[in-house]
Amino acid sequence: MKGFVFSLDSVIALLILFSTLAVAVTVMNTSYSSLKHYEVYRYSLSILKTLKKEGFLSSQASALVNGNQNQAESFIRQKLRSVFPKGLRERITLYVYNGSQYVDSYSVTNPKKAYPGKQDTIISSRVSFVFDDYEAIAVLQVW
Amino acid sequence: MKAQVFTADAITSVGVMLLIVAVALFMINSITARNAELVVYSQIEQKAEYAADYLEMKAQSFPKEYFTQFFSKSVDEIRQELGLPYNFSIRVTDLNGRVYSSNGVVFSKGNYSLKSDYVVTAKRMILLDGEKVIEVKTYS
Repeated sequence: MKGFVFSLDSVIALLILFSTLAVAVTVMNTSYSSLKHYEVYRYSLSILKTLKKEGFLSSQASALVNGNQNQAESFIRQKLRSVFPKGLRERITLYVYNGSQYVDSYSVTNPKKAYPGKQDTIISSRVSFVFDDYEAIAVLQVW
Repeated sequence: MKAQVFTADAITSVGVMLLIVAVALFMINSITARNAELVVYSQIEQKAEYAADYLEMKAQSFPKEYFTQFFSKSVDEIRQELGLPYNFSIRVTDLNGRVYSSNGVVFSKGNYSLKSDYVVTAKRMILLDGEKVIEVKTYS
């Protein structure tokens, strides 16, 4: 019983100590993260705007809708690879509408089978554009 | 025996309490230091983002003419125009990071110390003879 009292005290004390240490480590590690996310967000948004302006998004969306999926996916992946620094992973999803009617959506990821993990922070930006007789929203996710 | 148990408990408690106090002091110190760093970092980050926004906006029409004129200015003139800190650099590069130049004007300007503690990079993609990247770095 004496040993038990001693252990219980120690366990509680150590729990408090480790909790405090965990908080300290978390605070130390996360201070700048939101600022860096903002930098990536602003860069991503400018990429989407440029791709819209130069007609890349509309031409690839048109190709996707008209069945040239493999070629369009390859072009989009190549583009993502060229504009983002190595180490980041990206996905563009195009949501296509005809008037207010949802038609389809297409997703292209770079690298091909990349998927965000539980600890990844996904930074999203979006633009809307028109092509052929459709309207579309392009969502760019970076993690 | 009871006294011994009490003593052992008391010593452990005091020991752990001292450790907690030490960790708490360390945390307070770290947070204070981090906040000070964060303020500096936020300030140079704001300036870099503002400058990048400004240049992106200016590049909407006739970017080549605008940037040729812009990069012909002196470092001090650019600093004043964009409200940048002393240490900064601005470059227009292609996607491979090569600095762009036109009519003998190199699209790169700035002065900075390699000893700077913090560096913030704001980037924007623009269209200027194809896709180019405006890169504004501020240092403290």
